[in-house]
Amino acid sequence: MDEPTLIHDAQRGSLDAFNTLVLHYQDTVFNTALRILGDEDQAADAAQEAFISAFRSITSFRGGSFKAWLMRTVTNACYDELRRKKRRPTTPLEPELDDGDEMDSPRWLADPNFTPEQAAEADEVEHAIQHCLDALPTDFRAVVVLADIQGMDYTEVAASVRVPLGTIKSRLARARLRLRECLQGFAELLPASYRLEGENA
Amino acid sequence: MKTPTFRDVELLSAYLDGQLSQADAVRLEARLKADPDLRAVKDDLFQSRTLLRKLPQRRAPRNFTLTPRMAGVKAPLPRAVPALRWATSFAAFLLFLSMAANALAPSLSSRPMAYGMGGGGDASDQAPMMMAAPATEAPAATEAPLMEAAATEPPAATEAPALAPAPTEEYMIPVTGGGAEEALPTQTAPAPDSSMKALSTEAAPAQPSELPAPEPLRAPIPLTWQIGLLVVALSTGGLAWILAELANQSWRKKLK
Repeated sequence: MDEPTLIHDAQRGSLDAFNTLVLHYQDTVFNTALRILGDEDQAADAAQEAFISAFRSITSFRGGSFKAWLMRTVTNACYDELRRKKRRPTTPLEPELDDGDEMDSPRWLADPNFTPEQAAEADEVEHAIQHCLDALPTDFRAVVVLADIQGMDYTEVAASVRVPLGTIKSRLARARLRLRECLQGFAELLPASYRLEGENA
Repeated sequence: MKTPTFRDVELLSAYLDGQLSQADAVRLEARLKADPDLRAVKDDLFQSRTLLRKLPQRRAPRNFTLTPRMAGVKAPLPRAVPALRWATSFAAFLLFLSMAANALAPSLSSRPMAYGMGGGGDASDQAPMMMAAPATEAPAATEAPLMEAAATEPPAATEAPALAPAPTEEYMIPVTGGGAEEALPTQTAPAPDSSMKALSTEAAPAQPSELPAPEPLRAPIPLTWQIGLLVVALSTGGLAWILAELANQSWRKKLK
């Protein structure tokens, strides 16, 4: 994929060129939105909004990292979605069991107050991590998602969330510290391989 | 050995990402060797970071490619359309200007006449006389040339239509009343009494065929020009609309 050419063509109005970029980045954009929002449907909506917004403002892209520019668009879309959610909070409709009780969802199982039995059921590390991510302030969450989940360097993260490099370092440290504290509650869920890798560092 | 501070956590976090300078990294490594608490924090941070990096990347549930409708892409218009739209706007603007000019022309042209009367009054003083003008148009038409000849005033020609109202009553004044000359100096002074009499009563109806008809007030912008502008505005506007509609129709077919 010749990214600069595709960007140039998209800036001149070529939707086909832009859609090629969409296909290349859509997983990254969706995953970023998913980790920030913690909900697949909302993440898909935010990703779509981000691409629409990106196409409409692609002429404002003046070079540099296109991924960072795209991530800025998606984090903005996520912030909008979170604001919307805050204004109109909704309770998700969970499928009910035959006896009328609501089925437990993995998100609910990740509640820090749940019993050891329930914790034993929460065998998916992913849900535990997502729970801890959800507990972070939005600004911290965006930084840690971009740096640690998407593997972007500090400069790209700074460009994506439009804050100075020093702030990125500080937010990332705080976010990791909070995640560490949160994940300690899920220690028994974490695969041994992760712990061993930590010891090898 | 002391409890790690937030500054230490910040340094460790940057150290894990390779963001510390060489000197800072060496200093921190020395501390790590000596401080098990610091080492424990580093290990925890590393573990958290590793967990996040190992999170499975989900596939997007669907393609997020944009359709032209989603992207708000409009039908490409023929190049002539913007030019035609510009021509329509310009012609409409000129038409508006011409109509405004024609509408304002009478009131603008009446002002010099009012001052030329010699009364020295302001516009409000002249207004009643001007308002009365249409009532006695016929006599004025015949009087104007005579007045002009007698008074030898250049603006007389333009004053003619506005002087129209006064004739029958005001020209009688010099004949019957003595002090009236002061009231209407320019109109009464140059004309002899006898001629004034004749004009005011009998001569006016008798001589119209010999005197040239007063020129009606001409509109500054001829009607033909206005019609031309209207035709240009309508034709270019219509053509632009038709071309844009055709382009939109073919675009919609293409999207289907």
